Amino acid sequence: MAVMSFDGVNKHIIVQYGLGEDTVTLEIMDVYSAWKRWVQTGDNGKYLQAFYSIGGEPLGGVERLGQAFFILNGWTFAPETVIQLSSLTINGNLFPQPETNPTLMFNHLQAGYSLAYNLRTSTLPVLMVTNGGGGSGGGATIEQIERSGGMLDKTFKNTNLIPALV
Amino acid sequence: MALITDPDNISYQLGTNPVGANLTVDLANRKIYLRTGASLTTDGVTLKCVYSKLKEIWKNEAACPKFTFPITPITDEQMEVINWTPGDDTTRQLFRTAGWAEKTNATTNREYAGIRSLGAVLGTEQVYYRQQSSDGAPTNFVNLGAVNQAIQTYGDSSNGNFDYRSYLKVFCRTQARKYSSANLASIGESSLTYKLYPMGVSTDADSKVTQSDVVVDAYGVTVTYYASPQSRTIGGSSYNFSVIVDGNNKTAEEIYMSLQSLLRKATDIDSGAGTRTGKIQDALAAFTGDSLYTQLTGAGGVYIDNFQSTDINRIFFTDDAGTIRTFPYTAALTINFGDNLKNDTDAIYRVYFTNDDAGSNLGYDFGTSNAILVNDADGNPMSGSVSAASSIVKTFAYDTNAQRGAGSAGVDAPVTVMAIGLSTGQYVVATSTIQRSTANVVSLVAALERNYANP
Repeated sequence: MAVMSFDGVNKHIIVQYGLGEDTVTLEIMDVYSAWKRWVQTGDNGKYLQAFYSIGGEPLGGVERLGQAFFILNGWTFAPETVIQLSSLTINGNLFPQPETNPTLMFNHLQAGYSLAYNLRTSTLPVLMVTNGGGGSGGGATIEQIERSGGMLDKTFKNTNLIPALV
Repeated sequence: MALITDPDNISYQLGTNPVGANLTVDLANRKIYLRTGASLTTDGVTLKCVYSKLKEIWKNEAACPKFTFPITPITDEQMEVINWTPGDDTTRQLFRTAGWAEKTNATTNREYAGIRSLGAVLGTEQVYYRQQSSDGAPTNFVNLGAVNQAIQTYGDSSNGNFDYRSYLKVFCRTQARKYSSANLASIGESSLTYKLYPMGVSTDADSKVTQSDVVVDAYGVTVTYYASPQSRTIGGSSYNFSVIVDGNNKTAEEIYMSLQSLLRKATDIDSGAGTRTGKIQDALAAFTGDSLYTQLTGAGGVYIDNFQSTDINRIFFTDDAGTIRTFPYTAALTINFGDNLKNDTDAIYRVYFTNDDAGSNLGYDFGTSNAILVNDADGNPMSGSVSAASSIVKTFAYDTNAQRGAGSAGVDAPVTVMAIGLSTGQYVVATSTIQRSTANVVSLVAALERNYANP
């Protein structure tokens, strides 16, 4: 069974794979919660912040606004596995802050090993930001949104799997 | 009616019964009497005026010239009454603006020093004096308000048998007014003779006294006078103080008000073994602005134990050597917490130096493994549980804290303050600077936590 720990000096979230284990799946909320408890331990408050989160507001009944987590200040996931081809899956909406290539959230420590990183994100209400104009209310038209393909790429809308191979 | 200086304003008579005139000349017993009435009030008459009136009487009354003239003037304010005497103390207490000696031929029987206050004294204030340095009850001047009265400083064996010519201290102490006192040293004298002495005694409203004696006497502030010096440590060095005040954890103002009340007591205020009548003791402390300075008393310097820690920067102690001692400056950092941290029972906070640039500059910055947790003025780390507090105040030894290395003491300290809860408070971090001030503030307002899980 994998074990997770935090290395404040190197800003690594270390995921240590169990013996013979080649696939590890983590819930980002668990990672975030574990980090909070780690910060409260001993003198770990001296290290730079690793995460913040948004969302979770109640929408009525059992519904909640979708959650999103941001990893920042250069913190990265650092899997430690002895199996040359392994995978690490993070369930939840995790984004690097400031905005960058999501693969940079991962740092494979061991030379010569390959790891597949998966980000499984869920549906989030997404605000589309445009430069204005077009509609009478100043919002974007469907046509404008369709034309702004690059922006759509950045929304992670309904993205179920973002694989990366490092 | 004011002080009489014109001989025309006093009536006189020859006779032995001092009734019916302001001035009675008793030729048979060679005494002169003064009594109030008509123009002469308790405001009195100058001795010069009495002398002048006697001259007129000696000129106009046929019975007088065959007697020696009662008064020999040396100056307007210094005279000798030779082979005559004032008839009684009522008479003596109406003489103003002079001192005199009462003599039998060349032998002095009594001496009186005229005391006149300089400065503003309210007409309702009681000025009093003490003629001996030993403890004891003081004597009130006869009239309230400004002083112009002679006091006996010498008496031979038939006239009191004392010699108080080497000591005099005059006091004026009124509740809620600044105290005033004067002694021989303050007027540049080492002894008294029979002449007029102006003494600087003035009072003014004391804005630091805002409570009644009844209230401040309940504060529990005490003072102890020690026969041997007591050592107290200030800023790492020891100094001697012979008067120790127990502030009973009261504010500087409360301590001051308590001391002022004690200094008007006619009873023993020494909590130690000795006896010290309050109203004749030297002033123990005085405010300059909002800073409280203890005084060098005749018993020694004054130290205050158990004052409130927040007052440490505004209390100045005068030691037995007369040198003012102060604690190194202790700054204060107030850390304010938002509701999401306040309501989180697991919330903690920590204060780190942002960097060590002002000291060793070894890169011991926040965010590194060598980040330095700031110590408070007592040497304890600035960290802990929020514990439902809206704010926490931390002290910082501004002048002496060298955690960042040599050169970092006494300069502004950049700090990074972080806090984190679990169930309701997210991580929050803020930077600030601890300056040479007690008004340093940093606020930590964490976002509401909705995404923490601890299954």
